[in-house]
Amino acid sequence: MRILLVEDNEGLARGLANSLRDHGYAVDVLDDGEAADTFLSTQGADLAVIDVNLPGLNGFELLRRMRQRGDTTAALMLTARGETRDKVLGLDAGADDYMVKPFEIVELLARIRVLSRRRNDLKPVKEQIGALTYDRSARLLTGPQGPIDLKRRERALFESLLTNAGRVVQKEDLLEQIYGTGADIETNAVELSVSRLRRALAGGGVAIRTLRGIGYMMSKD
Amino acid sequence: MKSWSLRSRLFLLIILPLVLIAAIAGLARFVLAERMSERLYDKTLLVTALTISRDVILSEGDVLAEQLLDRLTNSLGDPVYYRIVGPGGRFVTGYSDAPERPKNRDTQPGVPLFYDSQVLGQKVRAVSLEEFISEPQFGGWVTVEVWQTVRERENLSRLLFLQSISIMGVVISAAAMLVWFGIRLGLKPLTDLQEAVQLRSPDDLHPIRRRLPIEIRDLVGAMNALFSRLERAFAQRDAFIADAAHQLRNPVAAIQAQAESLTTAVSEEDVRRRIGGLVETARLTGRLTQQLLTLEKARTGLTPDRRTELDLPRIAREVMAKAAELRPSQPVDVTFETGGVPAPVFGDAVLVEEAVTNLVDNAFIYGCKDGGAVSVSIDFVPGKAVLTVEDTGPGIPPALRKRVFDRFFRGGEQAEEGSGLGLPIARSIAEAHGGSVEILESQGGTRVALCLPTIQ
Repeated sequence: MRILLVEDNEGLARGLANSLRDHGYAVDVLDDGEAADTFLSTQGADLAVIDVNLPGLNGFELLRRMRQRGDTTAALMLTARGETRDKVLGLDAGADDYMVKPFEIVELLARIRVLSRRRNDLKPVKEQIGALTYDRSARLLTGPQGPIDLKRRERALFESLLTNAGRVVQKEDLLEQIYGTGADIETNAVELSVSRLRRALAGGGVAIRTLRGIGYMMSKD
Repeated sequence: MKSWSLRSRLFLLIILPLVLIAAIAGLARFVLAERMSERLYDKTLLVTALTISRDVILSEGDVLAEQLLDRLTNSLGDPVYYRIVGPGGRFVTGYSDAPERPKNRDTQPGVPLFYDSQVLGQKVRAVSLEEFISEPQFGGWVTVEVWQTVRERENLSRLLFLQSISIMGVVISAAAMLVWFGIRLGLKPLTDLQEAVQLRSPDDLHPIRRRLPIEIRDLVGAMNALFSRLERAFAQRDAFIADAAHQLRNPVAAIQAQAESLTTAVSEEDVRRRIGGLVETARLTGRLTQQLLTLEKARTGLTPDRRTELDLPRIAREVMAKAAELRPSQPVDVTFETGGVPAPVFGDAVLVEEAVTNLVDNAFIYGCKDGGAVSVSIDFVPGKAVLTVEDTGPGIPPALRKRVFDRFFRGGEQAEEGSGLGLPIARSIAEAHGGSVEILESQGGTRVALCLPTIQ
C-alpha cells in the first residue's frame, strides 16, 4: 500500500515515514501543498496523510482540490491540537479521518489500518485476527477448528467489529449497521448478538470487550 | 471628542454663568438708576416751571429777568427755555420756538405733562402745565411750557452706564482669577497623585496610601484593587513560568541522558531497550508541554467565539473509548451511564474534552493500574451536569485531597508517569466554564466529580 505523507515538520515527517515503512507501507514524503497536489494528480496514492498547516497550499485546500477532481483517495488530516473548527472544516472538505498533534504513532497506524479496511478497494480479501481468518469476498470465517458458521446478524456484527478492530464501535453505530438506519430495535438485541458471537468465536484468540453504556471493541486476546 | 481639562471645565462652568448674571445685574442697575435720575430731573424741571410762571404772572407778563435764567441754567447745567400763554391767549411771553407736544397727549388742568421733543435740531425734555390764576386782572387758565436741552442728562446716563460696566468688569475679572487659581489649588491632590504615580517604578504595584480628598477616594480605591489584582496575576504568572521551566528541565535532561547512553550501548538488544525508555520520556515531555499550554489557556480565560453547545455524554463516550483503545491489554471494566434529562453544556469543546480526558486518564492510570473498574456517570440536574468518574484503585488519602489540585503535585511514588497537572487543569477548565471539580467521599477508590452548568 502506498502512502503519501505531506508534512513540513522535517523531524516529524522523518519519524512518521520511518515507522510507516517499518510497518510495510511504501511512503512518499512531500513538504508542500502544491507539490503534493501535482503528485496526487499525476502519480496518485492509496492513502494521503496531510498536515493542515502547509507552506504554499494548505491541507484543506489540497483536499478540496482532490475531491473536486474526483480523487477519492483516503485522506487523514493532521493538525496542531485543539482547533475544533479545523476538525469540522477538514471533515467538510472530505477528510476520512482526523488526528490531533501530538499523537502516538501506534494510534496513527491503527487509524491507517481502519481506513484501509473501510475502503473496499483497499481491503485485503483475507484478513487475520488472532487465530481467525475472514474471507470478505466469500464471507467465510475460519477458526483453528475449521469454518465457523455465523448467522446473518452475527456476521454483520463481526464484520463491523473487524473493520474497526482495536477501536471502540459505539452501540448505536452497530445497531445501524446490523439492522439498518432508523430501525426501532431494543439495544438489548445487540447484547444478545454479541454474546452469541462471543460463543461462536470462543477459542479463536479474539476478545470482544464490552464498554457498558458505550459500545464494543474487538481485539486480539 | 475633545477631552477638556478639569480646570477648564470648572472654570467655564463657573465663569460663564457668572458673566451672564453680572450682565443682567449691571443692566438692571443701569435702567433703575436712569429712571431715578429722570424722575429727579423732571421734578427740577417742574419746580423751574412753577417758579417761572409765578415770576411772569407777578410781573404781569414781562419777560423773565436774564439774571434769573442764567442762574437757573448755571445750577441745572442745561439751558432753560420757556413760553407762557395767558388766559384765552391774551398774551404770550417767552420763546417762540416751543417744542412740539406729542399729538395724542392733552394736558389736564393742574397736572404737569412731561415729554421728549426737539427744538432747532436739539433733543429737549419739556414740561407743560396749565395753572389757574385767581388774579383779578390776569385771572384764568395759564399754560406754562418749560424745556431744557438734555446734554447733561445724557452725560449722566453715559456715566452711569460706564460705572456699571466697570464694576461688572472688575468683579468678573477678580472672580475669574480667584476661580482659576482656586481650582489649581483645589486640584492639587490630583496633580500630587499623578506625580506620585509617575514616579513609581514599573514593578511597584503597592496600593496608594496617601491621604486623599473624599471625591477621589473611590477612584484610587478602584486603582488599588486593580493594582493588587495585577500583582497577584503577575506573581501567579511568575510562579507558573518558574514551575514550568523547572518541570520541563527534568524530562529534557532525561531525554539527553537516555540519548547519550545509546552511543555506549553494548548490544543491539540493549539499544532497543534504551530507545524504548527514550520514546516514553519524549512522549511524556510532549504531553507535559501540551498540558502546560492547556493550563495557561484555561487560566487566562475562554474566548467567547470558541464556545458552542456541547453534548457532554457524547464527549464522555469518546474519551472513554479512546482511553480503552490506548490500553488494549489493561483489563479494565468500563461502564458509562447517564441520568436525568440531558441538556447541552455551553463551552469550549477542546477544553471540556481535555478536562474529561484528564479525569478518565487518571482513573485508568492510577485507579486501575493492574485492572479494575472505571465507571463514569453523568447526572443532569436542573442547571448543571455532574460527571462523576469512579475507579476501584487505592483512592486518594483524605489528607491529600486538597493538595492534588496544586500544580505539579504528585501523589506518592506510584505517579511516575504523571505531570501533576491533570487535576489542576481539569479544575481550571471547569472554573473557566463556571463549574467545579471536587474529590468526593468514597468507599475504596477515587471519586471525582466535574460539575458544569447547562443551558435550559
